[in-house]
Amino acid sequence: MGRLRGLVVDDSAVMRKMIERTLTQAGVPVGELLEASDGWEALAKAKAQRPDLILCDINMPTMDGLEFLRALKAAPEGGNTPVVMITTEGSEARMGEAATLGARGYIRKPFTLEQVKAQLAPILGAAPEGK
Amino acid sequence: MSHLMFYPETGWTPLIESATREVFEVMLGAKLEPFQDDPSLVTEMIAMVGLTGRVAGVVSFHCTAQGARAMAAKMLGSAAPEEDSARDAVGEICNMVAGSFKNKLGQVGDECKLTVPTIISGAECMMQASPGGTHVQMPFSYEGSPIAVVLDLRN
Repeated sequence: MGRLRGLVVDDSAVMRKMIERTLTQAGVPVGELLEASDGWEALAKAKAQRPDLILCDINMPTMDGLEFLRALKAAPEGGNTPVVMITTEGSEARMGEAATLGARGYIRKPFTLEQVKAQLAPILGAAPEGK
Repeated sequence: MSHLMFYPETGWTPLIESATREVFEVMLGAKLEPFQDDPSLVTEMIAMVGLTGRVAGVVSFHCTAQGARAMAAKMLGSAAPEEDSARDAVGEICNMVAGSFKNKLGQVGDECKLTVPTIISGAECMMQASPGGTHVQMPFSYEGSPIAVVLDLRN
């Protein structure tokens, strides 16, 4: 597998760092990790830099994670990018909404390394090579 | 959606206590100890997350500046986190405790929403609950520093 370009979207810088460390511990081959603190910033980076994988919080100011997901999937640059929600929101309704909008996985905070691995494994198995 | 007041069979205390312990065990690898001394809520940093819906109120997390730095260091894997990181870490811990608490409410929790965290800091911060509501205060010790999680619900 080649090195991936990832995008972590969370309004907490500490949580973005924790997710980065977890990806490393999970053995995810991240070559470059982009960061965004809300949906608007994430959308701009996703369109401009075409990440291979996006990990996105839901509860964020200005544009939340579900609005971001809806906008990304509607954009020609982002329709196929796998997005995994990583959030404190554990309701069935929110999980169902995320799945309907095209999320490929859903990780509840607080999360374990095993939960992250389990959610990313099916996606990483199909990740593009060569970056 | 029903607007009848919800009250869990177990009471609120086990739910907020288990939510707090879960966050610390999973995200910080720490087993919280009961805090035996003065459970005063005069602290140096307070994070708050609002809860709206059939269960409405505020989950707040109280700690000292030293405790906040210790938690941020653990989450970041760095020895000396900056002040902003300590505030951010406390906000995120409160966010996860509130989210875990909401998830423990089952279908009722599904109908509730959380706000993004608000953090205030300064010498002798104090938060006072509205009269007439439900107030649950859980004091713990994290690496020797006092912390408290408080649930204030509107009746």
